[in-house]
Amino acid sequence: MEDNGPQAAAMSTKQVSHDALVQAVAITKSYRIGRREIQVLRGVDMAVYPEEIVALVGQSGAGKSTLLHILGLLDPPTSGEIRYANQPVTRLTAARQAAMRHRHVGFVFQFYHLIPELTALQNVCLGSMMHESVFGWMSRRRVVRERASELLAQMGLGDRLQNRPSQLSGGERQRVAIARALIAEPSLILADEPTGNLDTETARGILDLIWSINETSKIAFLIVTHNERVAQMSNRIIRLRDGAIVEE
Amino acid sequence: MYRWFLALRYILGRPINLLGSIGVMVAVAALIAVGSVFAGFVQEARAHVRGNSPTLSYLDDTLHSDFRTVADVALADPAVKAIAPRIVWDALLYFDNQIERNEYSRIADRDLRTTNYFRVVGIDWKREQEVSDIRSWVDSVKGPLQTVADVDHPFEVDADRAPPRGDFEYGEAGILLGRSRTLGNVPSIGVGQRVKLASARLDHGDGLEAVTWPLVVSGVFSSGRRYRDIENQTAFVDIETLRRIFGEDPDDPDSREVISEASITLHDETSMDAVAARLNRAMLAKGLRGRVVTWEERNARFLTAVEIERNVMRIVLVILVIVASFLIFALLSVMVSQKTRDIGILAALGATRGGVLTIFLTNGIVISGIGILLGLLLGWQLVVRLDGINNWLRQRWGVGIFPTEIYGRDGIPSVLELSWFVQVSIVALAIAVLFSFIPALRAARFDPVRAFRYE
Repeated sequence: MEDNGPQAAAMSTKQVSHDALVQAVAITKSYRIGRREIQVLRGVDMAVYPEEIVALVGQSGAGKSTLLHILGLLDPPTSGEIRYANQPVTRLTAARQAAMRHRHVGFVFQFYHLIPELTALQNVCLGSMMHESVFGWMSRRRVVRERASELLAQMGLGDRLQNRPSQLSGGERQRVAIARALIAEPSLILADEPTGNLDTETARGILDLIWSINETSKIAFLIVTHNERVAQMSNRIIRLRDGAIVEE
Repeated sequence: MYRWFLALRYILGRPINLLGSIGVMVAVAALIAVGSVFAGFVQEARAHVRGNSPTLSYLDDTLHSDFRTVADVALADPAVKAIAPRIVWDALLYFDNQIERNEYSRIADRDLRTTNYFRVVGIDWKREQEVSDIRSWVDSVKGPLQTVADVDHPFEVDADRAPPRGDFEYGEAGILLGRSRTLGNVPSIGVGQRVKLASARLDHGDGLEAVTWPLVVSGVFSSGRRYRDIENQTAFVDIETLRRIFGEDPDDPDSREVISEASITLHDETSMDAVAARLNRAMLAKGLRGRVVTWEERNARFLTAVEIERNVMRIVLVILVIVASFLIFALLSVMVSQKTRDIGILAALGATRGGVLTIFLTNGIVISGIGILLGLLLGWQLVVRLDGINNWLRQRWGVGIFPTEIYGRDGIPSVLELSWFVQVSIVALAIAVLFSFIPALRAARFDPVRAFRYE
């Protein structure tokens, strides 16, 4: 496991780090179910720095996925602040947040979440269409398709470009999902149990791929995992228990 | 870009969407077909009413107006082309011969006519020709028991063809009956037939007094129109005959030329409303009690009823479109429920709520749009081939969607109006957009985290 020096030294938790790709400052999240309020996150401070792979570990219900969604601006925190490249983004409009999300973050999910009506190539291209006008897309279409084909070829799916998700195995689907996350060239990929739905052999292949991408593209990863072995491979481990960071 | 790309993929990837298009297609085709047929009927009805009504009518049911005064006022207006007097009176006509009456009744029963009720119209033959086609109506009928002896004097009875007989005292006054009333296929009822007119008039004490008057059928007329209500309901007599019945003596130069109405034609019909208003002011200034009305005002009740019927029909058919749009609503609602994961991942990729809304709204609009286009084409073809379809149904299955014999037509009337096509398209699309908007909004407001939370 590689030590990332200054990043691994982690910041003083409540200070703003000017180097962080994404930073959570005093994040709380609570849900109300009937009269009962459930506290999911209790003042979480953390950051992810360029080029590092961080493992977010914890038991079921510890708040890992909720934190991931809040960091990805899919879910607003009850209190606290999220900063992207040192810019506060929590109070931006939904449209601005969507644009920030598209520009800075890629997602990889346990269940791949590919669009079943689209081929592997189209699923990957979709990641590049989000903030493109029709005319803009028409002019860039060939370049994007070539890049998507290239990415899929790098994932070992050069011959599966026109296959729909239903025609691909679990491992292949996850590779397509990773390619889709990469096409928009994010600085950080948030991966929620990326190997949770795969057999050991396939999971190892996906992890190798993630580490290889990190090494070659210098893209940072925040990986939510139950797998202690995956955590040990990471540059840094953040442990959550009952909504609070207990070890970093 | 993603919104259009995904909308298209969702449409093409879900053949069940065709069901929504078919529903809209059927509703739109029904709107076009029924609307066009109704427009045909309305057009015919208006033309028919117009054909039976002079451009302007002076009306005075009290019989107090003198035609000479009315004509002086009317003809003083440069817009007026001609004017003709009329007395319109309701009466029963009795045929003198019992056997013939029975014969008439038998045939009348077959045609569902149970009374001898007539609208007897007294006309000035010479003047009437200036405001209507009455001469050609009489001149066009040929047949030994139907042709008038002299078309210039159609109310004069040919003595050879009307020998006096029976216990009635007959005068020499003639009456013109419509072709269907005289029942051309019953030779005994035609020219020379003796007729007794029975009605009532106001007596000098302002009470009602029964009156009967002997007449002889002097000829037969035919309007040549598709609907024969004129022939069925109207009989023409010389206006002087009716004046005599009402106690005037036309031979007395001091007697009044009483009328119940006057028919007025204009040089330019487009100005009829303005001319009517002008004439009303002039008539009032002359102390005349009657009122000048346009043909539309005179038939306002009928024309309004037709228009109301048409609008009710449109409302019923629009409900059909709403029902079809429910299908699109259901399809999109199911689609939104099935696509919650897609909505989640789209949000993760950077899609906005507006983008998600556009995807599903576009689906609804395209599905409806295809249905509307196909419906317009189908409706158009149905209207064009309506007679063929009707004939085929009659020959093949013995059922007709339109009983042509009731309306005395060879085919089904219809009018293809571009404005109707445009109206149907706009209304159908507006309803479809509204019904698509609800599930699309639900998709846009869907919390993306829910898509991942429950997996």
